[in-house]
Amino acid sequence: MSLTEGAGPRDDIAADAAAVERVLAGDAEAFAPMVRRYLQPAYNVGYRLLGNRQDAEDLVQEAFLTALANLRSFDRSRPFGPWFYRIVWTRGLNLRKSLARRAAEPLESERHPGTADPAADAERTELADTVLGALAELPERQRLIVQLFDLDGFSGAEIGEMLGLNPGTVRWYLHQGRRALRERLAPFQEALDEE
Amino acid sequence: MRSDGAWDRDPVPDPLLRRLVGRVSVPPLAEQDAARLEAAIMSAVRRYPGDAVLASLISGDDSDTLSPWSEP
Repeated sequence: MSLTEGAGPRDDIAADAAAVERVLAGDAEAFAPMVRRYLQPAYNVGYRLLGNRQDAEDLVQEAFLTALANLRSFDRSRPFGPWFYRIVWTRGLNLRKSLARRAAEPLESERHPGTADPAADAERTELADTVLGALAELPERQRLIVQLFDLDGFSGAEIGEMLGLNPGTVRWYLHQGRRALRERLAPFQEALDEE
Repeated sequence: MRSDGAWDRDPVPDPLLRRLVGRVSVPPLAEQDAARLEAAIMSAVRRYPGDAVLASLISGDDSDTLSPWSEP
């Protein structure tokens, strides 16, 4: 999948297993390539869950340290990513509880900046408002699954492992979320095609 | 599960949804932010005192990390 470009899954598993071995032997620097590899997707998960950059960054840091603290329990014959994303997800749920925030709120600030064309800007603003409204109306699980799959490139199996759901169940939620979004957003397809 | 096995494999990407939803989604972590975050994490990792000690230093309780999902 796209989150670990540059090497195949077997290479990733072997490289991560070797790195974990070195870290457990006391070589802290061996953790750096793993941080580099999983930082962006972990941040994406954190942002989807918490809805703002600072909390997502805090979560990512905490998740890497949690992974490090629990590294001996990691099964090195399996991919590191899903195990780690599960940590990000569960720690993120805990953090969100403590922050008592709604994940959808900060989406309001993620609009694209204006241009020199007020009419085009107004149209884009209307589109952004419609998209935000359509997303906000989805049940949270559907919204997060659509974002993780369609925007962040996680597979159904990876999302399932992260959320503790069967991959088939993830795909069902994805189907439901997509269908609801398509119905709301279909009128804008023509405008997009003209761009 | 549908009888045609539709839930057995991932669906193809939806370009319309990707374009529309992508417009209001967070852009990737900027390169300099990623570098800063990586440095902060590795700074903490280099003080790594051993997993048992570190585990005791990390705040929070892992006991509910496998809690089933609940809608807010």
